[in-house]
Amino acid sequence: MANDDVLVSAHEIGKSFLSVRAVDSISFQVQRGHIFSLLGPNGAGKSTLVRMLIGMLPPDQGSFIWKNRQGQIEPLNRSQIGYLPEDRGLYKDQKVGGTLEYFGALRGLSPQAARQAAATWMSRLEIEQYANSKLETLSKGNQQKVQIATAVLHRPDFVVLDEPFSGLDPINQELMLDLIRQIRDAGATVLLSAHQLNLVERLADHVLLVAQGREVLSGSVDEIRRSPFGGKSLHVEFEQTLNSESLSSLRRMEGVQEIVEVHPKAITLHIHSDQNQTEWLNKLDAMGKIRSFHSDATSLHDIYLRVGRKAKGAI
Amino acid sequence: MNRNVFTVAKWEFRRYFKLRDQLVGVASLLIGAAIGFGAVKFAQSSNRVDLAVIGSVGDLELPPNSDIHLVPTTESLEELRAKVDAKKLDGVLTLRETDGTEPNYQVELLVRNQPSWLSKLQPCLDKAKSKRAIQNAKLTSDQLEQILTPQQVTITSTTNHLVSNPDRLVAIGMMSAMVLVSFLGLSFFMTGITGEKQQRITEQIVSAISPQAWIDGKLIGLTAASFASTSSILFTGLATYGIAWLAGYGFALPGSMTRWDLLPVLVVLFVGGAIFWNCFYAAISSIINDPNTSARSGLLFIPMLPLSASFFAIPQPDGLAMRMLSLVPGASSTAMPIRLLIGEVAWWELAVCLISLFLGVALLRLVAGRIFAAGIMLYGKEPNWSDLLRWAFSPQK
Repeated sequence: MANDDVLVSAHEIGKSFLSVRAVDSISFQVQRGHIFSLLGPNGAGKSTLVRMLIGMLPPDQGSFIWKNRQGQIEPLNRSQIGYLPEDRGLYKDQKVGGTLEYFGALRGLSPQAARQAAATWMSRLEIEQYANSKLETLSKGNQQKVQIATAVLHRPDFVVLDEPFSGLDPINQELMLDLIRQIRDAGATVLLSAHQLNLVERLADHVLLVAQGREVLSGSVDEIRRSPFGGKSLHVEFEQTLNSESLSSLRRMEGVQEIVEVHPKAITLHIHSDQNQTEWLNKLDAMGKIRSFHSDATSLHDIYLRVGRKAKGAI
Repeated sequence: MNRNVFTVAKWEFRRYFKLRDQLVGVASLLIGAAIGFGAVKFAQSSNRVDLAVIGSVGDLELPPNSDIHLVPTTESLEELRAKVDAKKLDGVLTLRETDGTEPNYQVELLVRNQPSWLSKLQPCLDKAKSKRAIQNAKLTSDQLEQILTPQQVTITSTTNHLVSNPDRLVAIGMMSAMVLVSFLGLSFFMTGITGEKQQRITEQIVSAISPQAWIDGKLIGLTAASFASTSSILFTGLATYGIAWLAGYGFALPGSMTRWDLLPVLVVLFVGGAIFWNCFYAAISSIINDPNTSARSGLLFIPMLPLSASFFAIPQPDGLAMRMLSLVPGASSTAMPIRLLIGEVAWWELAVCLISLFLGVALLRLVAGRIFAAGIMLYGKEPNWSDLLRWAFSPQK
């Protein structure tokens, strides 16, 4: 990772609330122009980390270093941040257009620029017909669109989106996916926290997985897949039912992460990424006649589940 | 003013002060007042009382514009009784001179029901009786005039400072207006800040601007909204006075209402006092999650005590209690205006009042900003007193 293109570096960040260690010595770097995804189970410390990153909470330990495009260190500039919090809401009794203009003005836009940006984003999100409607009259999905527009209409350098897909139907989720890419392509850096891992997988340039306030995994999606939590998934269906002895011996073999019994004749075998797939096909063939076989890389979803289970002490 | 503070102030003012709603409210009240005065006028015009008089009216005089009309008659009592029964007459007044050494009258009144206008007729009958008695005493007209003229009292004050009851009413009205401003502030901050917490708006705003800029904007915007709303009520009152004056019910405004020289200092005291307590409302509202269940909601009514305390000290505007209240920030915004209007204030007292109010506002703004910054981000369990003290004395990070 080239250090000269870093937007923000976090060094040994820590935060406690009374006796609870919410964030414990986490370090990371966010590359300018990337989509950086912060993942982890509920209560992992993601929101606390984000709040500290954008200056809403002071860390007990560590520091954030922000750099401008010339690579010079500079203080956090709130007007260059767009933030969609997980706990979100808007003034339900106010008009959509006025609300967007207000948030634009708070983020440093002039009244004229805020008005123009509001109109642009309403058109882009296909909600321009609601400009003079009160927010409470809009559907949940359209309210979510207004909410997202408030976070990005001032064209920030750094956009933090906490659960941007929640409340959206699949069509609007795809719209949001495209929107996040467009924001990135327009030059902004995006920090994304979401539980729709199939979508994150398609978006993220870099993933930071945290659990119980600590970093568990960090890297690109491919790097994460090659990690001990990643690997390959072999989906095998046999002609006959596998007996328990065969399954037990399979579990004891080196390189096996996990076996999931899909039904009496089918299993999904998770193996480490350094394992040879052909050798495993031969081993499985020796156990019984194979009707069908296919493999894929372990999904981010499965990796996330493993991390979650480990955090709870299940692994 | 910081740009963000101005943006928030404008937004909050527009959220709570709807000019169109205010105009509709004022217009409705004025129309109501006009209808009310018109109805009174109409009712009074239909209050004419016709009394047939049997015997000599003599010295009986009714005031000009009286509703009662005396109609001398020669008809018989029976004929008149029939007219009273048929509601063609309101009554029959019989004035019968009695026998005796001095002329006197026996007065009888024939009516259908208990007359509501008797209280107007009785003083006229009494006056006529007194006049006859004085005439019988053989007094000259000058002596008679002398007896009937009420005693005049000329009051001279060594301080040239006389307070009339209307002036006291003006002082009470002014205090009430300030209490109203504070009540509006309470409701605006309660629905504003606690409402924003409940609607989960706070995090998005605090990510854009500092909590101190947010609370400063709210203080300016919501204080302005509460004054604007109160002003529309005062305007309605003045307009109602104008309607009353047009309807013939006008009265001279008390002298204290035309003390324009006091206006600047009164504005400072009112605005300072309102901001002082609005800081308090902002801090308390920020720690309340649900006003329906919070044990902290009662704290919001604390300001009403010092603001209303001045009411009980009005009879003695320069007494010790009022002098003390007028120097304490939070109470001075009602006590000092009352003293300025109907009492005597030394220059140093006014100076101490203004300085203490200024320092009080500055200190409370700072403390409220710290509590607000921590409180608005806190959901779930409400903070205890030690948390509040810790926040109040810890600088914002």
